[in-house]
Amino acid sequence: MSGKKSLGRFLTENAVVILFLLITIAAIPSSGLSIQYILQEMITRLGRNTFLVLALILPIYAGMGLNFGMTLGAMSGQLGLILAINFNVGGVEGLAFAALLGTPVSVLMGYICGSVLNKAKGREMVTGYMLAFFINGIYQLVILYMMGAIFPIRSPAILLSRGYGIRNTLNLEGVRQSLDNLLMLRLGGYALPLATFIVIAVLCAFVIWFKKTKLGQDMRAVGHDMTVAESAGVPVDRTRIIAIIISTVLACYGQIIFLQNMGNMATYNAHDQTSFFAVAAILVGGASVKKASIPNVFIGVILLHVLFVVTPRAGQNLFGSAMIGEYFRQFIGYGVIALSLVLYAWRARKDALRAREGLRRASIAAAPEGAAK
Amino acid sequence: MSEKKVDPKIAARRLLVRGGLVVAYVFLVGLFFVTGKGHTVLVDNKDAADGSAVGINGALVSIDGREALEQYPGDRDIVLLKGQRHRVRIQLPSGEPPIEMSLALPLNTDMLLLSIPKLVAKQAGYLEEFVQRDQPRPADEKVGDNNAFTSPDAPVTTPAP
Amino acid sequence: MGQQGPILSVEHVSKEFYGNVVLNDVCFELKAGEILGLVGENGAGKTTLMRILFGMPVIAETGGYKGRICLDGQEVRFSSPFDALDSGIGMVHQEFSLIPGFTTTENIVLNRESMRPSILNDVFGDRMSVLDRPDMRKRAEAAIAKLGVKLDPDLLISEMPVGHKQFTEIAREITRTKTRILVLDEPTAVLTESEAEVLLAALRNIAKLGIAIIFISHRLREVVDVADRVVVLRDGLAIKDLPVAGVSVRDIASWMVGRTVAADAVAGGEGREFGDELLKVEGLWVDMPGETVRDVSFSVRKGEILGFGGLAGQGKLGIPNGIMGLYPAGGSVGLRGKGVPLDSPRAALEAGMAFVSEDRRGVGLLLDESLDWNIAFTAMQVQGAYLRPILGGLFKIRDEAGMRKLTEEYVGALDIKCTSPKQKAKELSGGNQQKICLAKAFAVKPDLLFVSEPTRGIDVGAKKLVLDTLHRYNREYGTTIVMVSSELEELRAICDRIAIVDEGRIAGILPPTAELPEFGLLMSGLAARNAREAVNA
Repeated sequence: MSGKKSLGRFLTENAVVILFLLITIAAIPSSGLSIQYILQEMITRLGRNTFLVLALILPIYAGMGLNFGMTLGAMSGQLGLILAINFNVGGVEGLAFAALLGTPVSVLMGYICGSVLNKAKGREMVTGYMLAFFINGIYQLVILYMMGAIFPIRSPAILLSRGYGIRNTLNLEGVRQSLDNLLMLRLGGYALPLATFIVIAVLCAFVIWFKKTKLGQDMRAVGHDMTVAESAGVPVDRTRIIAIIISTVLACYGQIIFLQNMGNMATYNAHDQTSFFAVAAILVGGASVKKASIPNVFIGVILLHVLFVVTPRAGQNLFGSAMIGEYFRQFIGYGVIALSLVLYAWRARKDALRAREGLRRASIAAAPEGAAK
Repeated sequence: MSEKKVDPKIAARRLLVRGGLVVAYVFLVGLFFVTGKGHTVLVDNKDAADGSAVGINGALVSIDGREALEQYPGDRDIVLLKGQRHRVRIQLPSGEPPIEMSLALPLNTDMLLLSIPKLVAKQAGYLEEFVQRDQPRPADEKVGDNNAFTSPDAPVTTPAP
Repeated sequence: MGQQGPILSVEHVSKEFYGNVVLNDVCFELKAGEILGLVGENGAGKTTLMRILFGMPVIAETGGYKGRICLDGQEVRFSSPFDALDSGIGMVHQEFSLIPGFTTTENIVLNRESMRPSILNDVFGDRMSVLDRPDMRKRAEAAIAKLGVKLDPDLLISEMPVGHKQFTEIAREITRTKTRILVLDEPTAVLTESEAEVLLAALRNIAKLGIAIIFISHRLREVVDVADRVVVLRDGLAIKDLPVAGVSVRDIASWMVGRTVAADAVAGGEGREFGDELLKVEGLWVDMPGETVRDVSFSVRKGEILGFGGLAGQGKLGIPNGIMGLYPAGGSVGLRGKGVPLDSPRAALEAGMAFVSEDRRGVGLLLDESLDWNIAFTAMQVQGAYLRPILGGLFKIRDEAGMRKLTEEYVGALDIKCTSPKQKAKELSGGNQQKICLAKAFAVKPDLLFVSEPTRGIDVGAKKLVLDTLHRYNREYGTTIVMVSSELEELRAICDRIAIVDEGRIAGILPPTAELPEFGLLMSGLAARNAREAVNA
C-alpha cells in the first residue's frame, strides 16, 4: 500500500524526466543515427550548454524561480565578445578579455534585474521574462545605433555598410572553439573538449561550495520562507539581489562559452532563446520552480539535446520532412516548460491536500483517543 | 549586520585585497588585450618597388615553428598571429644556414606586410603596416531567424586543424 | 546580574489607539528566574503590552505609549524588535517562525550560524564564510539539553509534530547568549496535553538557569501549574498581581471575565419550544488560516438561536465559513436531513442558508455599488429573484422597481440611515453597513442564517440595534440563527444555547443563564482536559 503510494509519488515527481526519456528512446531508432554520432553530439552540446544551465541553479535556490532574466547576462557576454572582435583579440585570451569586459556589465544588469524582481515578489518569472524584452530594446539601441556612431568601432568589418551599427552575423573566427581546442582530448574516436569541461567542473564545485557558505544558507532560508528569514535578521532583499547577480554573471560567461563553440553570433537574436532553452533543459532534467540540483542540469542538457539531435532526422525518416522535427523541437521546448509549471502547481495542490488530511487525522488522533478504544 | 563590527585590521586588509583585485582586473584586461591581440601578417615574396630586392625562388618561411611556407617570387601568404613577439626562420634555397630573427609587431596594427626579400637583403622597412583601401564590404545579410541554439547544421565541432 | 532587583519593571504603562484606551496604568515587575503568568480575555491588552515591550513599529506609529519600561533599572525604549533582542528579550510567537525545510539545528541557529572564514571573505565580506556544521549541531544539542527535552537535531521541521516545533522555537531563543527574558505567547495552544506537560517542565528548567519568563496562556490550569506569579489583565487594567500559591483556576477565570454584568443582558433561556432539527453537523473540519476547526459536531433546531463563543484563533469563525463553503472543509452537514455539499457557496445558499460574514468589507459588501444592488444581489444570483424575462425569456433584465421596493422596505425595517437606495455602500457607517449585510441575508429569506461577529467594529447604539434586529427576525419570522461572536455578553443576550469553541472543538454547550466562571473555564481549556481525562480513565 505505502509502496504503491511512494511509487506513485516517484512517478509524479519525475513525470517530466520519464516522459522525455520515453520520447527520446522511441525517437532514436527512427532517426537512424549511429550511437557514436549521438554520443559525440552529446559531448559537444554538454560543453556548449551546461554552463548556461548551471546559471539557473542559485535563483531557484533563493526561491526566485527560473531566472528568465539570465538573458541580460547573455547580452552582456555578447557585448564583451563584440568588443573582443572589435579589438581583434583572439584565442583563449580573447574569451577571457570578453568575459572580463562582460563582468561589470552583467553585475550591473544583475543588480537592476534583482532590484526589479524584489518589487515583484512572487511573480519573478514573468517579470524577468518581460524585463529581458525591455533590456533587449536597450541592447539593440546600443548595438544597432550607437556603435560606430557614438562609440568608435575600430574594425569596419563588423559594421553595417551604412557605417554604424553592428552586422547581423558576426564571425567569431578569432575565438572560435579556442576554449574547446585548448585541451582537446581524443579518445577512441571521440573529441573531448577537456578545458571546457574543467571550467564546468570548477563551476559545479563552486556551486556546491557556495551552498555551504553563510550566504548560501541565507539564500536557502530566503527561498524557503522570506518572512521567517526577515524576522531572523537575514537581509532578504539584498540576498535575492546577490543571487540574481551571480546568476547573471554566470549567464554572461555561459553565453561566451556557448558562442565560442558555435563560432558565429547572431548579433541581435543569439540571446533571444538563451533563457528559454536553459530553462527547458533544467526542467527536463527534473528540476522544478522550487528545487534544482546539479544532476538535474546534466540530465536535462543530455535529454533535451538528444531529442534536438534526433527529432529532425526522425521527422525526415518518418514523415519525409525535417521541418516536422524542427517544429516538434519548438513544440517540445515550450510544451515542457508549460507541463512542468502545471505539474508543479498540481503537485503543490496535492501537497496542500495531503497536509489537510494530516490536519484532520491529527484531530481524530488527538481528541477522543480513549473513546475510540 | 555582521559587517558593522569588522575590526580595523581586517577592514584594512579587505580594503587592500579589494583594491588589489581592481588593479588585477585592469592588469588582466590589459594583459589579455596585449597577448591576445591578433595580427594578420602577409608574408610577401615580391620584388621591392625600387628593385633593390628581388623575390627569392623557393624560400621556406616558418613563423613560430609552424609548418614552413614554400615561397616563390610573387607569392603572398596570409599568416594569423597572436601577440607581438614572434620568431621568423627563413631557409634559403642556396643551402646557407637559415636566417633566424625575432619579429616585433606594433600593438596597434591589424594587418602587416612582411617582405621576405627585404628581410633577407637586410633592408629597413621589411615590416610595414598594410592598409586596405576600398576594401569591398560583404553585403549586409538579412536579419533572419538565426537560431543558432537549435539548428543542427550550424558549425559544430569540426576542430580547427 | 543581581538576583535581588527586578530585571524588568513595567511602570505605569498606558496606551491608547485613537482615543480607545487599551492599556491603563499597568505596573508589574519581573525577577530573574521568575515565571510570570499573564492572563486576560481577548482585547484585555496582552498583545499590546507585548508589542510595547518589543518596540514593535506599530506602537510608535500610533502615538507611542505612556509610562516607563526598565531593564535592570535603566529605562529602555526600543525602536525595533531587533533592539529588544539585542537587549536580551526573546519572544516565542504564537505562529511558528520556523523554516519548514530546515532541520532543527538549522532553525535553532538561524542567522546565528557558526562560521569559519573562507578566502573569499576579504573580497565579498563575511557572508562568504563557510558554515561550521558540527559546531552548529553542538550548539543546538546544548540548547536542547538545557530545555531537557528530546529533539532530533537533524529532523526537518516539516516532519516533526507541532510540539517539537514549539521546543525548537524556544531552543532558538535560549541559544542567544544574552537572552534573559523570554516571552511565550500561547505556547501550548497547539500542543497536545502530554506535549504541554513536557513544555512546562522545560520552562521550569529554563527558569532555573536564571531566565525570567512571561507566560501568556488561556489555559489557566497551566498558568497555575508553572507560574510563580500571575497578572490578570482586564480591559487594559492589571486588576490582579499576586503569587500563584493558593490561587485556584476558578478564581483566575472569574477575575478574567468577571466584568460588571448588566442585569438586563440575559434575555434568552426563557424555555422556548423549538421545531424539528434543522441543521446537523458532524465531524466538521475547516482549514481556515488562524481559525482552524478540527472536529465539530452540533445540531440546531428550527427557530433556535445558537451562539458560538470562545477566544480568537480557536476556530469559532471557521465553523460558518466552512459550512458556507468559503474555506476548504470536510465532514457532513445536513439541512433538514438532506446533505449539503461543502466547498460550494452556491450550493449552501441554494439549500436555504445565508451568511453574514465577519469580513464585511471584503466578503459581505460590494462597496462601490448602490444599496439596492447590495441588498438584492444574493437573491438575484441564487434565486433569480428581481429579474424580469424579456423577449420571451431570451434575456433577463433587472427588475429595478422591485429592487427599489425591497430596499426601501429594509431601510425602513432596519432603520438604515442613508440618503437613498442608490447611495454607495462604502459611504455608510459601520453599523449601517452591517445592517445592509443583514438585509442582504434576509432578502433571500433563509431558513438558517449564520451571523459572524455582527457587532464587530460598530458603536454601542448600533450594536443594540443589530442584536434587536436579529432577535426580532427570529421571533417574528421564525428564522433560525447561528451566531458567532467574541463577545460573550451579546451571545448571552440573545442566544438560546451557547457553545464555547476551544482548539477547534466544542468545549461545551451552556445555557445563557450559566455563570460567567463556567464560560471562563470552558475557554481556558480546562473543561476539555477534564473531559479527556475522564474518557481516558
